[in-house]
Amino acid sequence: MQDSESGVKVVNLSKSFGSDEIIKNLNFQVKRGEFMTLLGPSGCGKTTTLRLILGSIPPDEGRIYFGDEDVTDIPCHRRNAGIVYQNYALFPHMTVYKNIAFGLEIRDVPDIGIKVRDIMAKMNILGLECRYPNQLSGGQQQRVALARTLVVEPRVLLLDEPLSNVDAKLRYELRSEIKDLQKSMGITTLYVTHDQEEALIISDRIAIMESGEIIEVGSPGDLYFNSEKEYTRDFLGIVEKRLENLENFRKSAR
Amino acid sequence: MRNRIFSAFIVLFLSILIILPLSITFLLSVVPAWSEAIPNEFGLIWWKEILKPIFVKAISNTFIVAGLSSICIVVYGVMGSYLFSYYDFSGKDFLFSMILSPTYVSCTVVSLGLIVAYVPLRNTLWMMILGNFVIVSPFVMKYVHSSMSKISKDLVEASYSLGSSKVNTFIKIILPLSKHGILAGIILSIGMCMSALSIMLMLYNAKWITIPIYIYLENTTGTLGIAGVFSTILIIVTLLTVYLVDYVS
Repeated sequence: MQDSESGVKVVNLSKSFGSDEIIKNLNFQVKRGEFMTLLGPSGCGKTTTLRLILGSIPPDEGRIYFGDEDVTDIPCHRRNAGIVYQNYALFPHMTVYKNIAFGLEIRDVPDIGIKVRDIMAKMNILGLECRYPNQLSGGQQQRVALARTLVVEPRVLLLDEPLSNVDAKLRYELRSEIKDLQKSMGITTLYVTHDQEEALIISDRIAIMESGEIIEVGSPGDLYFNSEKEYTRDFLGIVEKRLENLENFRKSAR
Repeated sequence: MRNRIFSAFIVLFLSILIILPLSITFLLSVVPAWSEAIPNEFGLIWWKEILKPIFVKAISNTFIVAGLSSICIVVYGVMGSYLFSYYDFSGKDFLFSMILSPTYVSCTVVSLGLIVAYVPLRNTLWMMILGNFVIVSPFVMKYVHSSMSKISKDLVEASYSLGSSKVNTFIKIILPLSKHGILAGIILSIGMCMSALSIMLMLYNAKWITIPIYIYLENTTGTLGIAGVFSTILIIVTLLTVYLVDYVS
């Protein structure tokens, strides 16, 4: 199972909760430094897959690899996989500075202050050091959450619908920033969303998921224009329908 | 208008019904002598009386028993709440209901069970602590669990993902975020342990007589002045407890 090109590899992964089989024999690979998206409707098992890779829940079967290393049995706190949530998950009793420094303090690295300020500068949140999460806007909170995750230089970055709670304008801005940061830092990234448009714009590759299984994997262009799977065409076709609706609206407004 | 007056009268009547016994308890502590049901004079003679070593011992016993019991109760309440909030195991709901069950059972019944089940501890300080533990810990567990289970699982996961171990996450994230529930639990525990009578009556020994037991014994011998002083102390402790629990939670 060794593959030096692989950032994350999932092999025959399965997970059930009670009698519900949520993940069914999942196999996919995210290349090193690649931005891959798990795209599918709500309840298809995207977030469970992410949590399995994070290590917060154990799989029933299958293995997970980070590069060449089998991390399946390594506990969450030793995997060095960073996660950013839809609800930000900032520690409410800590200031912005303490939130971002949290992972560095655990690692006991030198120059924590410099590292925190560097990442804050990159995320355009300098000046917010002494504020608490409840004193920040949604966009600022998401930037802090990203900074907190990126500052520890995780081997894998997991993003669980991080833009769902921000408005359209900010979503557009953050989307570009996330993509630029990911490219410049070269972090292997797995992004989870149910938003087809977002997945098509931001991803290097997309894995279409449905009922705990991967239907198809490909580049956004390939999946959008050349997919032979009916489910993929239907699911991504919604973007086209949206564009049609927008065009019709524009025409009727004239 | 007539309805309003009637409602006001009912409320006033019920309020007097509740406040009257408490007021009379206080009155007992500041009236050295009565003629019929009328106080002859007012004074602090009973309050001075409780400075005698025997009564000071009862007060210190109360604080020792309540303090030791509360330490055990709060540690158990916090650890138990953590277990039930963050771990899944079969029979979890059933076990949680069982742990909370003493809240629905009479203290006397629980005390009888303790005496029969733990014969070697009979008539010891440890039996009194165990009694408080069994009766009070479910209440504290309810408070702390309610506070701890409200912490988003995402916060805990985020802490792990940043490299924090389970112990570190418990100390740096879970404990600070559930501090209101834990503080309320501490205050509730101290208040309940200090004023517990029915369970202490069944489990106490002569060396470890506490304030509630003294009140009961003084009452049976007709020395109501001392009982009034102790009752007033307990009322103040209880009111402070209720106020602090409300304030903190």
